[in-house]
Amino acid sequence: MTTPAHQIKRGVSLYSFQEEYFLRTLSLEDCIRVAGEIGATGIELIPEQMIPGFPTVTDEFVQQWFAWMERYGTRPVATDLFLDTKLHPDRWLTQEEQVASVCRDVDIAVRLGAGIVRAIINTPPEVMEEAAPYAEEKGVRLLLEVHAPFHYEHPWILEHLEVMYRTGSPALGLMPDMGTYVERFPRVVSERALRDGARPELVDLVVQTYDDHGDTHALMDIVNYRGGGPVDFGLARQATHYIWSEPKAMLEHMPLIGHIQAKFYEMTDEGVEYSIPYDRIVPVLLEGGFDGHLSSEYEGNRHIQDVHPVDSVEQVRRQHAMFARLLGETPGEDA
Amino acid sequence: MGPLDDQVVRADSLTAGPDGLEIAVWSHWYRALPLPSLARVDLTVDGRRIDPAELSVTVNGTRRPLSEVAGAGDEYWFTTDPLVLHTPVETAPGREHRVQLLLGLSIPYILTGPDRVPLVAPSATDKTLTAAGART
Repeated sequence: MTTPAHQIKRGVSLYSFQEEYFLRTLSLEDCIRVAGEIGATGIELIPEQMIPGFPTVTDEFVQQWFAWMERYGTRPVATDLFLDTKLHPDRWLTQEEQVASVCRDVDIAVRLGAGIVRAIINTPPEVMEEAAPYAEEKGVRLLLEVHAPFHYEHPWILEHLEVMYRTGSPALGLMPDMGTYVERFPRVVSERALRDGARPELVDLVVQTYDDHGDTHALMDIVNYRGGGPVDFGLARQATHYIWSEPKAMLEHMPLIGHIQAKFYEMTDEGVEYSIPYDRIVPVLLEGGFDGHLSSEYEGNRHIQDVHPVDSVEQVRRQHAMFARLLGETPGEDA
Repeated sequence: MGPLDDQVVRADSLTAGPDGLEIAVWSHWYRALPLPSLARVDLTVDGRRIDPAELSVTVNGTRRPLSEVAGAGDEYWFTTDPLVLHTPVETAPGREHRVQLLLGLSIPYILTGPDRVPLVAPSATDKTLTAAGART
């Protein structure tokens, strides 16, 4: 196999291991270690999830963090920020408070050595614009996650793009979530609905409509007309939260794309993602000259945890084996 | 609600405290939440519903009435740390109690519906457990 003529790197968002972290079978150190063992070089972290004492980040934590990075052959790449606009029960955060929240999280990223901050999809464009100079000064890129059901023609994303192109700020950009490329309905989700008592004919209707890329928004009404219950309705609603769009749409915005959240629900025994066609996504990233990290984001745990123990590590391992293959890396590197 | 509800109240959650039964509770959300997210604590012990006004909470080493957590937006409840509910229920080490808890976590960044109401992520617990002696 030839040497890869690209700069795409493999990473893991430790969010992928939320089940094991929650059950305390993997510590933060364990999460970093297994990511390194899988062959990932980049680590993405949700500070609220795995930094005890958040939002305080102690010197001891930072020292330990960098020691782990060195020990396991990884490096910090990204942190994920949240914007808790309803932090206070009786009022919204003001714009000033929202900007302060973003800047606080930029500071945390700097402390952890990460050059990228995921701006959650509900971050308003005006908050991005106001926080951009601070991020730039700190050497951090604030990347808006493009998360389903949003896409590049959606008004909310267009507003963000307007700010990015108008200001030309090097600190602003995009972080596409691959949940925007769900080509067929995740079977882990429909199978769970069946186990939870959904009616098979309504599950079929939802899955078929989705897989045919039909009008999923009408499903909730139809499920009601058919006398469906809460589980059927929930599944119909879920169908509106996934989207399929053309991965080539990323090409136009490639200079803004600094990181990929490689969402997935199920890596099969055959080594492919059941719903998301990575074999058609990765070539687009190669064609566009993407040079950041493909960062695993496993989210299937919640759909299977009722029937068998979740093995997020194996799922991420399989995804990385697929990435290594699609990126033309030497076979066996991640074995 | 889901299988991880099982982790919210655990086998060793109950303690006979100096002023009543104490219940250690873990969050079922994947990230630390600001304390005002503790939006709903419907607690029934041995069939008696506990008035939220009678509850106090210890989190991050500070004890405060449940009604005051709404004002503690600068503090977080971490993913792997329990908070302790202090109840007025009389108890002693070795005594069994049936604990029914409906916990509603208000998720401050996921807003739903035309009224922009935060999503409330619920969990339900119904367990009969034995109180241990007070932690020293």
